Amino acid sequence: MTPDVALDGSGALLLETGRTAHFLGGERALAAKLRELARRLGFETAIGVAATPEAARVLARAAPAGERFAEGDDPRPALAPLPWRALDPPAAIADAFAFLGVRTIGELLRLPRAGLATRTSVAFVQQLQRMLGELPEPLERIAPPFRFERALELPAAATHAEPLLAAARRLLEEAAAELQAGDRALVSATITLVPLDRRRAGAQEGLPAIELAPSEPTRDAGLLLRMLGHRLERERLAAPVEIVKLAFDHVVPRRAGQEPLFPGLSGREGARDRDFERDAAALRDRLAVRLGEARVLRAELLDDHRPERAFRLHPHASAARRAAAADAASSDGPDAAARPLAPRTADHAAAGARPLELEAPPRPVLVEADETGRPRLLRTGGRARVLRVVRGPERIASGWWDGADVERAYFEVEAEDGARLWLFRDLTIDPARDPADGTRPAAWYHHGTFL
Amino acid sequence: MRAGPAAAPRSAARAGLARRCELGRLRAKLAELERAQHRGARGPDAAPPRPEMLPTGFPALDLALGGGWRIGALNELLVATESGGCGAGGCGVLEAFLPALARPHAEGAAAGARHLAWIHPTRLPYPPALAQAGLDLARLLLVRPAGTREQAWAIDLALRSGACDAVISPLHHLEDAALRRLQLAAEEGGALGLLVRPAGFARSPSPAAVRLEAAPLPSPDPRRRLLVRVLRCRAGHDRAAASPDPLTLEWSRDPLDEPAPAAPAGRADAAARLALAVGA
Repeated sequence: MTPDVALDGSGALLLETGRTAHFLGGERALAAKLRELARRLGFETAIGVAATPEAARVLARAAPAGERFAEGDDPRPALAPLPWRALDPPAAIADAFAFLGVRTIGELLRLPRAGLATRTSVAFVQQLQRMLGELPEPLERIAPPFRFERALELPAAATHAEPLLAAARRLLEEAAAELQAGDRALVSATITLVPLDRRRAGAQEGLPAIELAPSEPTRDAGLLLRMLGHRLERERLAAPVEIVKLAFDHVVPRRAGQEPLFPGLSGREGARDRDFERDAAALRDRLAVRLGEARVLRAELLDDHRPERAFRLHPHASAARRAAAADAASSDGPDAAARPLAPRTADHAAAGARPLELEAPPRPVLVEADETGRPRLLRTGGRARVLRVVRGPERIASGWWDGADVERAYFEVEAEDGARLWLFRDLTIDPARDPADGTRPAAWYHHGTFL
Repeated sequence: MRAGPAAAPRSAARAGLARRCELGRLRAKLAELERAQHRGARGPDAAPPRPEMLPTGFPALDLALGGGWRIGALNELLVATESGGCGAGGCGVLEAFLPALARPHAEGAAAGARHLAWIHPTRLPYPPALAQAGLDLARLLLVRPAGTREQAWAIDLALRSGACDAVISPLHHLEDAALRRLQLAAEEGGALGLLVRPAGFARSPSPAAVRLEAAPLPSPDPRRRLLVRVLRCRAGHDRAAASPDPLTLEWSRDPLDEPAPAAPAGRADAAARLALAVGA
């Protein structure tokens, strides 16, 4: 009926009909059509038609189950007989009206403005001015979400990946052109493979659907095609596929950056810095699609002295997943306790040397120590290796607040051939005391290797 | 002075040597001119070209390699596994070379964008130790493929993508054809590929541009020692002082570590004493 539709609070719509009412047979015919349309959808409507949005609101409020019209440009004649309750004023102002003894809007409008502003509020007077058209009221048009759905029928039912990829390439290139034209980038899309027998039945559930979710919003058809290729390598088609469908799930507005002035000349080296980020994101996406998101990880350091908890690994997350996680993380969860550590190298220089490989969990070993508690001999696999302490002891006692408290003395030791290990002695276990049942809890552990 | 027959071979040899030196100098000059011309031909927006060699951090080793690690190629580290049982276990080879490998190859904003990738199904490095070696953890990418086939695929993809400065992967057996593919991938992507393999693979053929064999050495003081032998090194900028003798590398993470007074100060030129300070 009109391209200009705005949302007005909950349960109300503002339509600007000035341009289209003529083609639909006038305002009354348009209102009747609107009422009919809403009734079919299950809604009861109150319609107000006037020259200004505020006046239309007032008219609609005054006509709970019908229509009210204000002909012409001046809504005053239609508004005058209405009770002032149709203005929906706040309670304080409503009391003022009762005190003043006004009953209709017409009486209200006859009162001097300055005095009215003092007795009610400036905002209320401005509302009146908007209603009469003395002040403008700009509205924001709602735009329907960008939808893209295309299907391509294959010339013959496909059992291999190549014809599927060829069809997908055409769809993706068309999609990329659409995204480019609309200055948008894709966050996630779904490719549905419709097999032979389903087409007749028309059922849409249970179809094999592949979600393409790159880690950064992108317009690159090549990247999406490669991601699809990796997924298809992993999957097996249950039935020959006849139709390939592409549907966008989520797009965001994105403007293109500037291209370099001499692209051909510079080749790979001439790419801007932004392209390095894009290449890195594309690499992570392709690895994650083929291997699985849990197998592509980034690391961050945590503020914890216990070595096994001094870091955290993050699996790869697509852009959609990251946005959802960001929304969820705004509330404090149990993970909020472990704060990430700003990786300033100076801090770690003070922390003591760390091995390049950690044994998780620490492996109990048989170590003989001398009287000062320093390890001297390591017995593994029937051999005894003489140890020399290079650095140590480094005492780490921490974690009493979450129940996983540790009290350890760490030693960097070198074996006779030059290999270096990271051992610790659990200080909570007293080796001198022998429990009655003869079992001795391990006091020494191998926690890391200095690769 | 003597123009007898005995002098002739010596002067001829000297002339030959002089000519070779001259040729070497001319070749280097030509390469430099070509590089300068190629650089000028790029647009004004172009990023500076990526270097071809990465210094290892040990001058004696750089001399033996004719520059350092080869960027845009595979480099192999063959590590003598000790009888203790862990793979690259404890000999110090990664600790020695990681500070140099962790540095980004390019300057400016591109420095932070390219990854250092570690690819192995089960073994993962300890991030705080990587941070101590000077790596910016935002650049670290850990990949855990399911098996050897996926590992080879992941290394190939990472090398080829151009999004990695370095790709480090402990590896055991891999077919010759697959290794050659990795070498080509490194050339295409301009990445430094480092394969860490058990020393038993020293005999199997490999297309790697640089092959080093490393074994741990005991050390009387806190500084660590490593025995390194250059098995192969492709021609680089400077003429590689190819010496079959093994080098002893010494380093320490802590700049305050002093060598023990009993250590012989006048060791042969093969020893390179360099303190790699943390974060320096």
